Amino acid sequence: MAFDRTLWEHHAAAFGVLGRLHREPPSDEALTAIGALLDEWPLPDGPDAAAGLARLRCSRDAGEDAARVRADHDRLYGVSAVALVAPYESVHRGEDRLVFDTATLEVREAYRALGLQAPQLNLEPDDHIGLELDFMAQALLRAVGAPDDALAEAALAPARAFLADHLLPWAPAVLARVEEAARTDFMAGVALLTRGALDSCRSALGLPESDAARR
Amino acid sequence: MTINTDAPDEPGTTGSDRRTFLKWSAAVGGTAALVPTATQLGMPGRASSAPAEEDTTVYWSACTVNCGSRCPVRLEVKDGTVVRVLPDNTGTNELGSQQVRACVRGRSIRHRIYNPDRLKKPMKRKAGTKRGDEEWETISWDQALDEIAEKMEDIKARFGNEAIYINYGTGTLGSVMAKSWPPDQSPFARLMNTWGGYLDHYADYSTTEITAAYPYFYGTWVDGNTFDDVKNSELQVMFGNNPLETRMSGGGQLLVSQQTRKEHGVRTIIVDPRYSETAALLGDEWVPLRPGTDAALIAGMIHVMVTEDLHDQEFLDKYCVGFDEKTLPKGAPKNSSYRSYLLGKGPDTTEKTPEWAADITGIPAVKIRQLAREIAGAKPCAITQGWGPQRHANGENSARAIFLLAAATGNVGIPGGGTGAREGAQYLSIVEPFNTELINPSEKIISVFGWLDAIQYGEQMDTFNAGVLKKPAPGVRDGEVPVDEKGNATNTRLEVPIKMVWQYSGNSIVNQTGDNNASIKILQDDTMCELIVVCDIQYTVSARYADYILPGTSTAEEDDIHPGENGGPMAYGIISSQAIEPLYECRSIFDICTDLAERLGTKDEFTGGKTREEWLREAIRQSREVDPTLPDYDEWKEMGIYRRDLGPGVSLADFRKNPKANPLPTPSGKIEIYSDRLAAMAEKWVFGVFHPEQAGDRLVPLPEYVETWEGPLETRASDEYPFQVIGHHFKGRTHSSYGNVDWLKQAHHQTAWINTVDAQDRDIENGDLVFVYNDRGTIRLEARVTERVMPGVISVPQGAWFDPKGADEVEPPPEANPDHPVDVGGNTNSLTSLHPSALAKGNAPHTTAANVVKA
Amino acid sequence: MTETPSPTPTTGPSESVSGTGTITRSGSGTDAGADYGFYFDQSLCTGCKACGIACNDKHDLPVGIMWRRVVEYSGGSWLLNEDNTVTQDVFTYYTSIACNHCEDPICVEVCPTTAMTKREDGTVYVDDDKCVGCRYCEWACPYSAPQFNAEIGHMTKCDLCFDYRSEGLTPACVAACPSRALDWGPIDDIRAMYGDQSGLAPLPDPSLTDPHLVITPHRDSERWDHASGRIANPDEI
Repeated sequence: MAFDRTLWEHHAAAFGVLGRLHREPPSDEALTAIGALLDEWPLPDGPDAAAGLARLRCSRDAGEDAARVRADHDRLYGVSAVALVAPYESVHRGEDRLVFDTATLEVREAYRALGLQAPQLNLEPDDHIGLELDFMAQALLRAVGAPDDALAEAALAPARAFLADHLLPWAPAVLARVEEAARTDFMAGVALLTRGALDSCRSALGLPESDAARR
Repeated sequence: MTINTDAPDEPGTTGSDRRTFLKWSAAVGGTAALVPTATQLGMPGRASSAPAEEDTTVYWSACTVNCGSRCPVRLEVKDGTVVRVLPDNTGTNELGSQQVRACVRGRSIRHRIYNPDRLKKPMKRKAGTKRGDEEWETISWDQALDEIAEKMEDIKARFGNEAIYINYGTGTLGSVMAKSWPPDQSPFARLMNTWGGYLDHYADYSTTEITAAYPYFYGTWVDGNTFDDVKNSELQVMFGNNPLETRMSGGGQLLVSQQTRKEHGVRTIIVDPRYSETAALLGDEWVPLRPGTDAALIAGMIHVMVTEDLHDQEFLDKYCVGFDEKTLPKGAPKNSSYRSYLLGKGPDTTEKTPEWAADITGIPAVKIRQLAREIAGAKPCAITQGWGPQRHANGENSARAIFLLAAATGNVGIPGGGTGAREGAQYLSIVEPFNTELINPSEKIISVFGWLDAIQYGEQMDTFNAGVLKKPAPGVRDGEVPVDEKGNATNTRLEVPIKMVWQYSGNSIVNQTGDNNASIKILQDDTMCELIVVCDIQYTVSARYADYILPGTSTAEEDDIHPGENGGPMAYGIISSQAIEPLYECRSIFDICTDLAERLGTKDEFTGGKTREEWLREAIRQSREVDPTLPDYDEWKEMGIYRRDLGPGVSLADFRKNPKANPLPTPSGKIEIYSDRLAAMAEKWVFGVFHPEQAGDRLVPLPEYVETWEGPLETRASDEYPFQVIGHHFKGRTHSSYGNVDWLKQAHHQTAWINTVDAQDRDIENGDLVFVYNDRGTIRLEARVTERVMPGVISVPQGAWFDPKGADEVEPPPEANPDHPVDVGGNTNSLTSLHPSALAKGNAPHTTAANVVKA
Repeated sequence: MTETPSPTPTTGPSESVSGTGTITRSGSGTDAGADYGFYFDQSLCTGCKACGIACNDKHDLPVGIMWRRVVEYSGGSWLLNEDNTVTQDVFTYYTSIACNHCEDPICVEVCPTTAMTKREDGTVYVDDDKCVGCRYCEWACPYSAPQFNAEIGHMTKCDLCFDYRSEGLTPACVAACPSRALDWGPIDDIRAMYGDQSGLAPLPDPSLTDPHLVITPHRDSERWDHASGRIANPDEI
């Protein structure tokens, strides 16, 4: 079977944009641009993706502005202090529920294997959901950019391993909590859409559906 | 871009179609900013240019909270991250050179450093919201400091420097550069000293009443003997002293007292309403008494001693005034001696028999007689008090009464004896020039507990109605006894209200002061206090009520010096090394104050031309001028902890040897059992001005028992609030520090201790949720049904984080005040009063009446 | 193995002091035939749980698994007298308990897959490759020492910090105790120094497994078969 560059580029696009939105809330301009693009979401409509797009349309139609989304984002992810749902893998997977724990250092290793590192190394945890999604985007783009199909197929390995070892064991469940706790349709929509993207990618990479990922 | 890369370019990674990717990237904020281009990316397995650092490094650090101990911890750091906390691995098991093993809290320090709830960026209360609404705007450091400086200039212009107040905070009192206490030695105090001064407070929340009592008994603060000196004692008696929980370090008083007991086996009696760990392990006998009745027990015991001639009359005659009529100061009324008080010849005409004391204290008269005989017969006897007995509305007198017991038995100033004060310890002389070289020009000082009154009533407050005092000398954080040389009480008035509260590394804005619900009401009116700034590492309860929150650094993120504390015979000190980078946008308090000083125009004065590290080196350099045997900074930093055995300490030994040559700083030079200065002040003291006058609001010259509001007699006669609620220190927290650490919450549950008999009457079983409530508030928490607390007493560990829930979330019990939320955190100050004690104008958290019902 | 009655600190590569300082160990800390066990001084334990926290930290144990637990045991009663006074005979003591690396480890006996194994040095450990997580050992052990980790699907337990001992270090709990209430060493040495008491309430009859545990009792300590008190902190263990 030929390597489907479009499929992987679409996943990379989805992870790139979602990673950014988890890390930083959008400006008013970005909100408008996203609103205009919703019909062109590049991934197939699973139930979560469909629900996510619906929430984002609600957000657009209700005129949720950047200030509201920013406040909700801060409230959910504790940008300044306490998080309702901490956006870091180690908090959810570590025995101690702390940042900068075992998972953080493992994720750091995975980034390094592709010559990458977190932007605020040792100041902010490497395993922020936004950074992990960004890693997926970059890993998939490398495969897309490979000179031949065999190399491209091989280049999917780090993304597959990272998804299985890091994102899938924690992100879908935590995103469900984000969706429940969100006060804006936008943040709820982003959480749902991310669940959808993770599931789509899991399936495309041939990974089994896990119990943890189900709601 | 979200993820950096330093990977080499790879051939053949361009050319694919990424229209979709680019379009979406553009929508959310620009491709280049978001994702690196493909040409920067390496291929899998070939690009690992930043190999992981597998090696770990171990750094000396410390736990710097206010537990009265000071422990080193060794932080194992891997790849820039603290992965494990290791104990001290130097020293021995011998007192004098003991290994300083951190307690359960210090071992959990990683859970403070890496708590997901850490403060990360400066925050500002949103316009249009009330303090405590917790609606925040994240702002830049520049904006935060610009706005704070501007507001400070404005307050200074309108009200002057004394409208700016540094609130009590002890979250990092164990450091030099990150010192939060004493307030006058904190970095912000230094900054204010460069800018015209600020309003300061005397005493502290741990010791307000005993601090106020000292001048009128010993003339000044004195310690007891060190705990290792108990080896010279025949008997040890502890009043509300609980070193096994309040001095928990494995190099501190816990170890000193336990090792001394193990080796010398001196019989020990513990007087406490609660069967503390100290009662269970150090004590041979537990004498439970009703909270706040120590002075009655002591009157009953000394009555026995006097009746049976067991007391030390010679000591009382030579070293003390006012035990007998013949040693009363000139001008004292007839029958005002302590003996007259005992024999019922004083104004209350009640003889202080053991039966009288039994009724008040709950201790059978026969036991009081036994105790009196045993204590008087033990030569010498080590009598100490913790700070629980004094943390009451009548605590000044309880403290003086326990001193008196030591004096009446002649134990002051001798090996194996003691002053009746808390145990002492040996210390190194560490000079702290950064903290002490500048002077606060403000001459007035208020009680540590008076700040909420000063916000509301400011210029109406004076010495007689609110305990405003004059400082004894410029820059001295203390209040002068308000009596002139002729013996007349003197008055000092506050001139302006507090308009700004600065809270660094402390949780005394709500949570650790008193009456949370009333405090919030006062603070929510921002026309009164106009500016509240909180700097901390955690999102504390105090932070919720701030206007600006500044994220500080933890000890792991700094170099610092940590003078040792309460190591018994061992003096020691720790120099810590920065183990990790400051997280997020957190900044050290030195840097924060430097940048604030720059905006206020005093940067050079504030820094003194030195960096943070240069100040640390300067501290050790100057310390070595005093004590040349200390190691130099670099040596000390390398060794982490430096220790020296100074042997047992005997307090007031000089005075005992030669009282004429070494008089006490009292007017008489002697121990003042009767204080004529208190008598003079009693004439002028006014109650009921800012708080309704209540039973017990009076000054008395003798250390007599004063029944107060919400005291044992009132509660036992009350159907509404029949319990005395006390708030013990416990193992899971240091006050409120570590209060958000999950490990510790799991290991040590926040519970209301209630006696098995009381619980049975109310159908409460161990582990049941209960409401404890009074008119001031309601808490909900688990009941710990236990034999270990006296009937009629509920003990709730103090310092839990206030967590108020409205009636829509948690409905209060029908009997409780419906105007207040239910605090499901179980903070004792949801129940305590803002009513100050009579002399100290201090907090009286153990004087609290309440009821309990099953939730 | 040698022992000295004087409190001479033990020196290892980086831990200069361990335990009470009274038991001196030589050799590797994992010597065959040494039959290591724990010493616990009940008269010193304040129930602070530094030992348990140090253990959790060292072994990265998930919430809900505690290889070392501290049990509060209280009893006594109150008499309310007519004259507003009270009298009582209250007592409390704490027991810090982990695996006792028993002489007759019942966990080893009941294990159907031989995963539960006694090392040559006398300590008992779980062979992860063989353990199927049937939990027979957990049910059989009167000290509840083996504990099931649901995440990895098999049993876990105290191995007396085998890795630390291999490096000449002190087990984490022993090094952590602020009161110096814990120590470890060859059980014969411990018994020679401190006697052979371990059957103290709320612990079970020691004849069940012959634990390598010696306790210096608290003054109010009750024998296992004469218990009048109760466990006061069931929610914390």
